[in-house]
Amino acid sequence: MNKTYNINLNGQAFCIDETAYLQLQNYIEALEKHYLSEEDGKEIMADIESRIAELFHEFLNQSHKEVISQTEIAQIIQIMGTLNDIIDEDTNGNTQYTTTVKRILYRDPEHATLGGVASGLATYIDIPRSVVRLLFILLTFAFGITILFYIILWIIIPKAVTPKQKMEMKGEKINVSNIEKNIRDTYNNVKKKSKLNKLLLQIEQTFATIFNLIGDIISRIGKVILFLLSIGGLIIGIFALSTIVWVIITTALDSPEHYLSFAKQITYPISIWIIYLLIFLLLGIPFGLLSYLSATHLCNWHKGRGPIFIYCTIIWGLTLFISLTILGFQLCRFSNHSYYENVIPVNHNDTIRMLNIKFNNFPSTQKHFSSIPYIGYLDNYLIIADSNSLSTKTKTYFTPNIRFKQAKNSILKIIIKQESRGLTKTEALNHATNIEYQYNLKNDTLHLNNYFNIQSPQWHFEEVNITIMLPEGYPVNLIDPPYQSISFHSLKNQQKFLSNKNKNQHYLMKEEKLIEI
Amino acid sequence: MNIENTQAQMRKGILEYCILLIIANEDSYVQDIIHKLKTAKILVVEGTVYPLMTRLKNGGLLSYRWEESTQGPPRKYYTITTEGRQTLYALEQSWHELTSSIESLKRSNNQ
Repeated sequence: MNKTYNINLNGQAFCIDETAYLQLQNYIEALEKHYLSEEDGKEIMADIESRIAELFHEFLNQSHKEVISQTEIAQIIQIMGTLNDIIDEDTNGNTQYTTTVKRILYRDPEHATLGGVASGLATYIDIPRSVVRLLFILLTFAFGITILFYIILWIIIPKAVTPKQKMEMKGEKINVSNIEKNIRDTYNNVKKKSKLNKLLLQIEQTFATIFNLIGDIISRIGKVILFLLSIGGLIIGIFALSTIVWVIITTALDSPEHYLSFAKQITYPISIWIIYLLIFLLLGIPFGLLSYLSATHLCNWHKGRGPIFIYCTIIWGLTLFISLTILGFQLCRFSNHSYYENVIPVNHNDTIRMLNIKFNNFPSTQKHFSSIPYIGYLDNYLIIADSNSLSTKTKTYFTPNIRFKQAKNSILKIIIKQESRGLTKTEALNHATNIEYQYNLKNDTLHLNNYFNIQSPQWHFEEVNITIMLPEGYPVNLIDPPYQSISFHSLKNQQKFLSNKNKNQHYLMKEEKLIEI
Repeated sequence: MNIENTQAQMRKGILEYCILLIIANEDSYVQDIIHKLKTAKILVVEGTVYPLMTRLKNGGLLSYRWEESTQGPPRKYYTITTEGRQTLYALEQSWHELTSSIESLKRSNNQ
């Protein structure tokens, strides 16, 4: 048993059952929508309805029924034509009027970065999307209140969900296939609305709306946060990346010669350029990835991101592994320590009244003195490099450490200690022995070099520590002392020592320190 | 390139011409018009014809009067107006020109 509706078509009354009614209603409404926008529309519809009424009469007479059902509607559509036939045929047939369907402002979910506000506005006003977006960003920087404005728009402007809305958004004419879909949807919806279902449906709908609203708000907030994060990420990423590149380039190309040659000795046998590359990859990849992800998120290029992310992470992991391995190997080289000590014999018989110490500077045409400032261990360790214009290589010279101590007995003692580190104790000893350092004691003058060399191209923390043990009251004459090499703890008055520009400087060992005389 | 599209376009173009031809011959109901079109092997659904009729009428090319019918409500009985005849004549000219152009193109192809 079915419910029937009473309808009238152009003044003719009919009984029609529920399903047929819905079908007919949507058919006629579609046609009305299409035709009523023109002048002749009313008349056309009247004709069509009349014709349908005529056909209804025919059918009812033939089948001896009183009520129109789906079968009759199907026949009507067959005779009159499907919506596709009629409307599609018609759209190109008339040139008598323009069909500009008015545009309605919607939010466009298909082209949305955040909520589709910008893209919706762009479609409505007919400007390219990127222009609107750029405007929004500029306005946000100029007046921060724009963000609030955007959020308000986001809430107010409805989203174009159904195909009909999407077409209204773009101002396109109603597409027939979508209208048929609309018909089907409405039909299904109405079918559900029997008395029992109605109440449940209402409750369900209210809950659904509440949840949807909450979810909507949360997702919107999330989207805004993500948007801000990606802008931040982009700025930080690009800034950091360019800083890294700039630093690497300046240190690689612009550094003073001696830094570079010393660095080469540290990293031997691995080329310094490989180290630079590793550092660049290690620091650059995270920031580069950050910039890339931020930029693609902002521009909605989600296409190749996954694989790129994976590749970059793999490369970075590899770089990290290689770096750590190299670091490990290098540290091993410094694990053991050894030294080689030499005591210069001083005869008791030659009583030296006063010890002269003459310092020899390294052979060069130019002199640079510079220190590596704050690398802790190397604080008291000067590195002088000399670039001979004739040779292409830069030689690094290291400075020895000289200190004066009070001898417990009244015996003068000169101790030269060469120290080094190495992979094993033997290797360390080897390196220590291989340090080239010249010194000798002639009559009452001790000749000391102000520099030493290492033979191997690798650096092993080589040191030369010279201790001169003077008995109390013993005078010593320093000729041209190198300020940097002599330990300040040996001196009573450091300021005076530093400011003393005399060639010959006389000191006396008293109370563990040298004082000037 | 959708050939069916072009064919449909061709058909749409001449429908008004056909209707004027039919009505110029004798006054008709819409049903008759559709029937005659069918006999002439032009298949068209009723839903397409009604709007055309109304537009032609509002353009002044056709006029109608109500005729009582045995089955149901009165029906529109269409006749062609003088303006309609003039338009028909113009359409005949266009058609003639069109067909001769196409014929000459075909002949030049075959040569």
